[in-house]
Amino acid sequence: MTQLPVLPDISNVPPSCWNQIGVWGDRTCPELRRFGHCQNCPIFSAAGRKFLNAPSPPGYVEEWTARLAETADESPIEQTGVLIFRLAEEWLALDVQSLVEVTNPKPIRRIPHRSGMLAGLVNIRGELCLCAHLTKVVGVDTKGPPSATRRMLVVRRDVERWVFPVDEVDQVHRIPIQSVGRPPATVGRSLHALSLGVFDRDNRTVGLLDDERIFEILRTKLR
Amino acid sequence: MLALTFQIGPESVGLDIRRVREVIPRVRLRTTIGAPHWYPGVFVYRGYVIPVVDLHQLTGHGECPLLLSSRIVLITVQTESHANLLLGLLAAQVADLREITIAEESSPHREHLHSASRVSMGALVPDSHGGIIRILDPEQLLPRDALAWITSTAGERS
Repeated sequence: MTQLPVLPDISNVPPSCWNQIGVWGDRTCPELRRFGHCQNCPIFSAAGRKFLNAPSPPGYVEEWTARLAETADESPIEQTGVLIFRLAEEWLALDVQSLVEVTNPKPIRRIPHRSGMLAGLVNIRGELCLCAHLTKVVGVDTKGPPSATRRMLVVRRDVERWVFPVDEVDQVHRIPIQSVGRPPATVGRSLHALSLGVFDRDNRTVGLLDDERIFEILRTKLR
Repeated sequence: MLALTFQIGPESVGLDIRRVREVIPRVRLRTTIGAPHWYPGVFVYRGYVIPVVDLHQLTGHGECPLLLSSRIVLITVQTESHANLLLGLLAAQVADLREITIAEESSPHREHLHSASRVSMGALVPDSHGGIIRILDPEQLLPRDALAWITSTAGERS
Protein backbone atom coordinates (compact mmCIF):
# COMPACT_ATOMS: atom_id res chain seq x y z
CA MET A 1 0.00 0.00 0.00
CA THR A 2 1.40 3.34 -0.95
CA GLN A 3 2.00 5.92 1.69
CA LEU A 4 0.05 9.06 1.20
CA PRO A 5 2.09 12.21 1.36
CA VAL A 6 1.16 13.99 4.55
CA LEU A 7 2.27 17.22 6.08
CA PRO A 8 4.59 16.58 9.02
CA ASP A 9 2.81 16.46 12.34
CA ILE A 10 4.13 19.38 14.32
CA SER A 11 1.97 18.78 17.37
CA ASN A 12 4.46 16.53 19.18
CA VAL A 13 7.56 18.66 18.70
CA PRO A 14 8.25 21.52 21.10
CA PRO A 15 7.03 24.87 19.83
CA SER A 16 9.77 26.78 18.03
CA CYS A 17 12.10 23.78 18.30
CA TRP A 18 14.54 25.58 16.00
CA ASN A 19 15.20 28.01 18.84
CA GLN A 20 15.78 25.25 21.36
CA ILE A 21 17.40 22.25 19.71
CA GLY A 22 17.91 23.65 16.21
CA VAL A 23 20.48 25.95 14.66
CA TRP A 24 19.32 28.89 16.79
CA GLY A 25 19.44 26.70 19.92
CA ASP A 26 21.94 24.15 21.14
CA ARG A 27 21.97 22.13 17.86
CA THR A 28 21.11 18.83 19.56
CA CYS A 29 18.22 17.98 17.20
CA PRO A 30 18.86 14.54 15.60
CA GLU A 31 17.24 15.72 12.35
CA LEU A 32 19.96 18.32 11.89
CA ARG A 33 22.35 15.72 10.57
CA ARG A 34 19.90 14.90 7.79
CA PHE A 35 18.81 18.44 6.87
CA GLY A 36 21.88 20.45 7.76
CA HIS A 37 19.86 23.55 8.59
CA CYS A 38 16.43 24.12 10.08
CA GLN A 39 15.44 25.97 6.93
CA ASN A 40 15.49 22.64 5.05
CA CYS A 41 13.41 20.85 7.67
CA PRO A 42 9.72 20.15 6.92
CA ILE A 43 8.77 21.01 10.50
CA PHE A 44 10.18 24.50 10.04
CA SER A 45 8.38 24.89 6.71
CA ALA A 46 5.12 23.66 8.21
CA ALA A 47 5.46 26.11 11.07
CA GLY A 48 6.12 28.88 8.54
CA ARG A 49 2.95 28.01 6.66
CA LYS A 50 1.00 27.90 9.89
CA PHE A 51 2.29 31.37 10.71
CA LEU A 52 1.28 32.70 7.30
CA ASN A 53 -2.19 31.22 7.64
CA ALA A 54 -2.99 33.53 10.50
CA PRO A 55 -4.86 36.78 10.08
CA SER A 56 -2.68 39.85 9.95
CA PRO A 57 -2.02 41.53 13.29
CA PRO A 58 -3.80 44.84 14.02
CA GLY A 59 -2.15 47.81 12.37
CA TYR A 60 -0.20 45.64 9.91
CA VAL A 61 -2.25 46.54 6.85
CA GLU A 62 -2.18 50.26 7.68
CA GLU A 63 1.56 50.19 8.32
CA TRP A 64 2.30 48.56 4.97
CA THR A 65 -0.14 50.80 3.11
CA ALA A 66 1.77 53.81 4.44
CA ARG A 67 5.20 52.26 3.90
CA LEU A 68 4.58 51.34 0.26
CA ALA A 69 3.09 54.74 -0.49
CA GLU A 70 6.40 56.41 0.35
CA THR A 71 8.50 57.25 -2.62
CA ALA A 72 11.73 55.34 -2.74
CA ASP A 73 14.80 57.43 -2.16
CA GLU A 74 16.43 57.46 -5.57
CA SER A 75 19.86 58.52 -4.36
CA PRO A 76 20.77 56.55 -1.26
CA ILE A 77 23.13 58.41 1.04
CA GLU A 78 26.68 57.22 0.66
CA GLN A 79 27.92 55.98 3.99
CA THR A 80 31.24 54.92 5.33
CA GLY A 81 32.14 52.86 8.38
CA VAL A 82 34.49 54.47 10.88
CA LEU A 83 35.89 53.35 14.20
CA ILE A 84 35.62 56.07 16.82
CA PHE A 85 38.28 56.17 19.53
CA ARG A 86 39.73 58.60 22.04
CA LEU A 87 43.26 59.97 22.32
CA ALA A 88 43.56 61.92 25.59
CA GLU A 89 40.74 64.51 25.25
CA GLU A 90 40.35 64.15 21.50
CA TRP A 91 37.74 61.94 19.83
CA LEU A 92 39.03 60.68 16.50
CA ALA A 93 37.91 58.22 13.86
CA LEU A 94 39.62 55.93 11.38
CA ASP A 95 38.12 54.30 8.31
CA VAL A 96 37.37 50.65 9.06
CA GLN A 97 38.95 49.61 5.77
CA SER A 98 42.40 50.03 7.28
CA LEU A 99 41.47 48.57 10.65
CA VAL A 100 42.57 45.02 11.41
CA GLU A 101 41.67 44.60 15.05
CA VAL A 102 41.27 46.18 18.46
CA THR A 103 43.14 44.40 21.26
CA ASN A 104 43.76 44.82 24.93
CA PRO A 105 46.94 46.69 25.84
CA LYS A 106 50.05 44.58 25.46
CA PRO A 107 53.57 45.33 26.69
CA ILE A 108 55.54 47.54 24.32
CA ARG A 109 59.22 46.58 23.89
CA ARG A 110 61.23 49.69 23.32
CA ILE A 111 63.77 49.72 20.55
CA PRO A 112 67.19 50.92 21.78
CA HIS A 113 68.25 54.40 20.65
CA ARG A 114 64.85 55.08 19.12
CA SER A 115 62.21 57.29 20.69
CA GLY A 116 59.77 59.98 19.68
CA MET A 117 56.93 58.71 17.52
CA LEU A 118 58.14 55.13 17.57
CA ALA A 119 57.04 53.45 20.76
CA GLY A 120 58.59 50.05 20.08
CA LEU A 121 57.52 46.54 19.17
CA VAL A 122 54.33 44.78 20.18
CA ASN A 123 53.54 41.10 19.94
CA ILE A 124 50.21 40.72 18.13
CA ARG A 125 49.29 37.03 17.88
CA GLY A 126 52.90 36.00 17.59
CA GLU A 127 53.72 38.64 15.04
CA LEU A 128 55.97 41.56 15.95
CA CYS A 129 54.43 44.84 14.90
CA LEU A 130 55.79 48.35 15.06
CA CYS A 131 53.95 50.49 17.54
CA ALA A 132 53.72 54.25 17.16
CA HIS A 133 52.42 57.02 19.39
CA LEU A 134 49.49 58.39 17.43
CA THR A 135 49.36 61.26 19.94
CA LYS A 136 52.74 62.46 18.72
CA VAL A 137 51.88 61.90 15.07
CA VAL A 138 48.71 63.99 15.13
CA GLY A 139 49.88 66.34 17.87
CA VAL A 140 47.47 65.65 20.72
CA ASP A 141 48.49 66.66 24.24
CA THR A 142 48.72 63.73 26.61
CA LYS A 143 47.83 64.81 30.10
CA GLY A 144 46.67 62.91 33.13
CA PRO A 145 47.11 59.27 34.11
CA PRO A 146 46.57 56.46 31.59
CA SER A 147 42.92 55.49 31.54
CA ALA A 148 41.60 52.06 32.42
CA THR A 149 39.88 51.79 29.06
CA ARG A 150 43.10 51.71 27.05
CA ARG A 151 43.16 49.59 23.89
CA MET A 152 45.44 49.01 20.97
CA LEU A 153 44.42 49.52 17.36
CA VAL A 154 46.04 47.35 14.73
CA VAL A 155 45.83 49.03 11.35
CA ARG A 156 47.10 47.97 7.97
CA ARG A 157 47.52 49.55 4.61
CA ASP A 158 48.89 47.35 1.83
CA VAL A 159 51.81 45.56 3.51
CA GLU A 160 52.42 48.09 6.27
CA ARG A 161 51.07 47.24 9.69
CA TRP A 162 51.06 49.56 12.68
CA VAL A 163 49.81 49.41 16.24
CA PHE A 164 48.52 52.54 17.95
CA PRO A 165 47.82 52.71 21.68
CA VAL A 166 44.61 54.68 22.30
CA ASP A 167 42.84 55.69 25.50
CA GLU A 168 39.37 54.44 24.67
CA VAL A 169 37.58 52.75 21.78
CA ASP A 170 33.94 53.50 21.16
CA GLN A 171 32.65 51.36 18.28
CA VAL A 172 32.24 51.28 14.53
CA HIS A 173 29.70 53.84 13.34
CA ARG A 174 28.24 54.29 9.92
CA ILE A 175 28.32 57.93 8.95
CA PRO A 176 27.06 59.65 5.82
CA ILE A 177 30.00 61.01 3.87
CA GLN A 178 28.18 64.31 3.35
CA SER A 179 28.11 64.92 7.10
CA VAL A 180 31.91 65.17 7.24
CA GLY A 181 32.66 68.87 7.31
CA ARG A 182 35.80 70.95 7.27
CA PRO A 183 37.72 70.90 10.54
CA PRO A 184 37.55 74.15 12.54
CA ALA A 185 40.53 76.45 12.37
CA THR A 186 41.19 76.04 16.08
CA VAL A 187 42.30 72.45 15.61
CA GLY A 188 46.08 72.03 15.96
CA ARG A 189 48.08 72.36 12.79
CA SER A 190 49.29 68.76 12.42
CA LEU A 191 45.88 67.34 13.33
CA HIS A 192 44.33 69.72 10.81
CA ALA A 193 46.63 68.45 8.11
CA LEU A 194 45.97 64.82 9.00
CA SER A 195 42.19 64.91 9.19
CA LEU A 196 39.72 64.58 6.36
CA GLY A 197 37.17 66.56 8.33
CA VAL A 198 34.97 66.49 11.39
CA PHE A 199 31.51 65.09 12.06
CA ASP A 200 29.12 65.07 14.99
CA ARG A 201 28.26 61.83 16.71
CA ASP A 202 26.52 61.43 20.08
CA ASN A 203 26.95 65.11 21.03
CA ARG A 204 30.65 65.16 20.41
CA THR A 205 32.75 66.33 17.52
CA VAL A 206 34.87 63.60 16.03
CA GLY A 207 37.85 64.17 13.76
CA LEU A 208 38.10 61.75 10.86
CA LEU A 209 41.76 60.92 10.34
CA ASP A 210 43.33 60.58 6.92
CA ASP A 211 44.93 57.15 7.24
CA GLU A 212 46.82 57.54 3.97
CA ARG A 213 48.63 60.66 5.23
CA ILE A 214 49.32 59.09 8.62
CA PHE A 215 50.93 56.08 7.01
CA GLU A 216 52.94 58.37 4.78
CA ILE A 217 54.27 60.30 7.79
CA LEU A 218 55.13 57.12 9.66
CA ARG A 219 56.91 55.78 6.60
CA THR A 220 59.02 58.91 6.01
CA LYS A 221 59.77 59.94 9.60
CA LEU A 222 60.60 56.50 10.97
CA ARG A 223 62.63 55.11 8.13
CA MET B 1 10.82 27.85 -15.49
CA LEU B 2 10.92 29.10 -11.93
CA ALA B 3 7.44 30.12 -10.95
CA LEU B 4 5.88 31.94 -8.04
CA THR B 5 3.00 29.73 -6.95
CA PHE B 6 -0.20 30.76 -5.26
CA GLN B 7 -3.79 29.62 -4.82
CA ILE B 8 -6.95 30.94 -6.37
CA GLY B 9 -9.69 29.09 -4.53
CA PRO B 10 -8.89 25.40 -5.00
CA GLU B 11 -6.58 25.95 -7.95
CA SER B 12 -2.78 26.22 -7.83
CA VAL B 13 -1.46 28.84 -10.15
CA GLY B 14 2.09 29.61 -11.18
CA LEU B 15 3.50 32.81 -12.56
CA ASP B 16 6.88 33.12 -14.24
CA ILE B 17 9.03 34.97 -11.71
CA ARG B 18 10.53 37.07 -14.49
CA ARG B 19 7.16 38.78 -14.71
CA VAL B 20 7.02 39.53 -10.99
CA ARG B 21 8.22 42.94 -9.91
CA GLU B 22 7.58 42.55 -6.18
CA VAL B 23 5.40 40.63 -3.75
CA ILE B 24 3.89 42.90 -1.13
CA PRO B 25 1.50 42.34 1.76
CA ARG B 26 -2.18 42.92 1.24
CA VAL B 27 -2.67 46.62 1.79
CA ARG B 28 -5.69 48.83 2.30
CA LEU B 29 -7.25 49.45 -1.12
CA ARG B 30 -9.22 52.46 -2.13
CA THR B 31 -12.34 51.53 -4.05
CA THR B 32 -13.07 53.23 -7.32
CA ILE B 33 -16.50 54.31 -8.45
CA GLY B 34 -18.33 51.90 -10.71
CA ALA B 35 -15.68 49.21 -10.42
CA PRO B 36 -16.63 45.59 -11.11
CA HIS B 37 -16.49 43.19 -8.15
CA TRP B 38 -13.10 41.79 -9.22
CA TYR B 39 -11.52 45.23 -9.13
CA PRO B 40 -11.29 46.01 -5.39
CA GLY B 41 -9.45 49.27 -5.90
CA VAL B 42 -6.14 51.04 -6.06
CA PHE B 43 -3.28 51.82 -3.70
CA VAL B 44 -0.27 54.10 -3.76
CA TYR B 45 3.02 52.36 -4.53
CA ARG B 46 6.11 54.56 -4.35
CA GLY B 47 4.17 57.58 -5.50
CA TYR B 48 2.15 55.85 -8.25
CA VAL B 49 -1.45 54.71 -8.17
CA ILE B 50 -1.54 50.99 -8.87
CA PRO B 51 -4.74 49.07 -9.70
CA VAL B 52 -5.29 45.70 -8.05
CA VAL B 53 -7.25 42.78 -9.48
CA ASP B 54 -8.73 40.25 -7.07
CA LEU B 55 -8.11 36.89 -8.76
CA HIS B 56 -10.61 35.14 -6.49
CA GLN B 57 -13.44 37.43 -7.53
CA LEU B 58 -12.33 37.38 -11.14
CA THR B 59 -12.63 33.60 -11.32
CA GLY B 60 -15.76 33.33 -9.18
CA HIS B 61 -14.12 31.85 -6.08
CA GLY B 62 -15.61 34.30 -3.62
CA GLU B 63 -13.60 36.33 -1.15
CA CYS B 64 -9.83 36.18 -0.97
CA PRO B 65 -9.10 34.95 2.60
CA LEU B 66 -7.93 37.63 5.02
CA LEU B 67 -4.65 35.95 5.96
CA LEU B 68 -1.01 36.98 6.01
CA SER B 69 -0.35 34.64 3.10
CA SER B 70 -2.81 36.54 0.92
CA ARG B 71 -0.58 39.00 -0.86
CA ILE B 72 -0.42 41.31 -3.81
CA VAL B 73 1.85 40.25 -6.66
CA LEU B 74 3.05 43.27 -8.61
CA ILE B 75 3.52 42.56 -12.28
CA THR B 76 4.06 44.64 -15.38
CA VAL B 77 1.70 44.20 -18.30
CA GLN B 78 1.84 45.50 -21.84
CA THR B 79 -1.23 47.34 -23.02
CA GLU B 80 -2.01 49.22 -26.17
CA SER B 81 -1.46 52.56 -24.48
CA HIS B 82 1.18 51.65 -21.89
CA ALA B 83 4.43 49.81 -22.42
CA ASN B 84 4.83 48.81 -18.76
CA LEU B 85 1.73 49.12 -16.67
CA LEU B 86 2.15 48.05 -13.08
CA LEU B 87 -0.72 45.86 -11.97
CA GLY B 88 -1.34 44.19 -8.63
CA LEU B 89 -2.81 40.69 -8.46
CA LEU B 90 -4.39 39.72 -5.16
CA ALA B 91 -4.06 36.00 -4.52
CA ALA B 92 -3.92 33.55 -1.61
CA GLN B 93 -1.02 31.40 -0.34
CA VAL B 94 1.60 33.47 -2.12
CA ALA B 95 4.43 31.71 -0.33
CA ASP B 96 6.40 29.47 -2.63
CA LEU B 97 8.70 29.32 -5.61
CA ARG B 98 8.71 26.15 -7.66
CA GLU B 99 10.55 24.88 -10.69
CA ILE B 100 8.04 23.90 -13.35
CA THR B 101 9.17 22.14 -16.48
CA ILE B 102 7.01 22.76 -19.49
CA ALA B 103 7.78 20.22 -22.16
CA GLU B 104 8.40 21.93 -25.48
CA GLU B 105 6.72 19.31 -27.65
CA SER B 106 3.55 18.82 -25.64
CA SER B 107 1.26 21.67 -26.35
CA PRO B 108 -0.30 22.80 -23.09
CA HIS B 109 -3.99 22.37 -22.92
CA ARG B 110 -5.72 25.68 -23.39
CA GLU B 111 -9.28 25.88 -22.23
CA HIS B 112 -10.07 28.44 -24.82
CA LEU B 113 -8.15 30.66 -27.10
CA HIS B 114 -7.59 34.15 -26.00
CA SER B 115 -10.40 36.37 -26.97
CA ALA B 116 -10.82 40.06 -26.55
CA SER B 117 -13.84 39.67 -24.34
CA ARG B 118 -13.14 36.78 -21.96
CA VAL B 119 -11.09 36.18 -18.86
CA SER B 120 -8.29 33.70 -19.51
CA MET B 121 -6.40 32.15 -16.64
CA GLY B 122 -3.79 30.49 -18.80
CA ALA B 123 -2.74 26.98 -19.69
CA LEU B 124 -2.84 23.90 -17.49
CA VAL B 125 0.37 21.92 -17.11
CA PRO B 126 1.28 18.97 -14.90
CA ASP B 127 3.45 19.84 -11.91
CA SER B 128 6.18 17.67 -10.39
CA HIS B 129 3.87 16.45 -7.61
CA GLY B 130 1.47 14.83 -10.07
CA GLY B 131 -1.01 17.64 -9.79
CA ILE B 132 -2.10 20.25 -12.23
CA ILE B 133 -0.92 23.81 -12.14
CA ARG B 134 -2.10 26.73 -14.16
CA ILE B 135 0.45 29.00 -15.76
CA LEU B 136 -0.90 32.49 -15.61
CA ASP B 137 -0.36 34.64 -18.64
CA PRO B 138 -0.71 38.25 -17.48
CA GLU B 139 -1.29 39.54 -21.00
CA GLN B 140 -4.29 37.28 -21.52
CA LEU B 141 -5.70 37.53 -18.03
CA LEU B 142 -8.13 40.36 -18.58
CA PRO B 143 -10.36 41.22 -21.49
CA ARG B 144 -8.83 44.02 -23.47
CA ASP B 145 -11.53 46.58 -22.73
CA ALA B 146 -11.43 45.77 -19.00
CA LEU B 147 -7.68 46.37 -18.91
CA ALA B 148 -8.12 49.59 -20.84
CA TRP B 149 -10.74 50.72 -18.34
CA ILE B 150 -8.48 49.95 -15.38
CA THR B 151 -5.69 51.85 -17.05
CA SER B 152 -7.89 54.86 -17.47
CA THR B 153 -8.83 54.89 -13.78
CA ALA B 154 -5.37 54.26 -12.38
CA GLY B 155 -3.61 57.14 -14.02
CA GLU B 156 -0.62 57.35 -16.25
CA ARG B 157 2.47 55.27 -15.85
CA SER B 158 5.05 54.74 -18.49
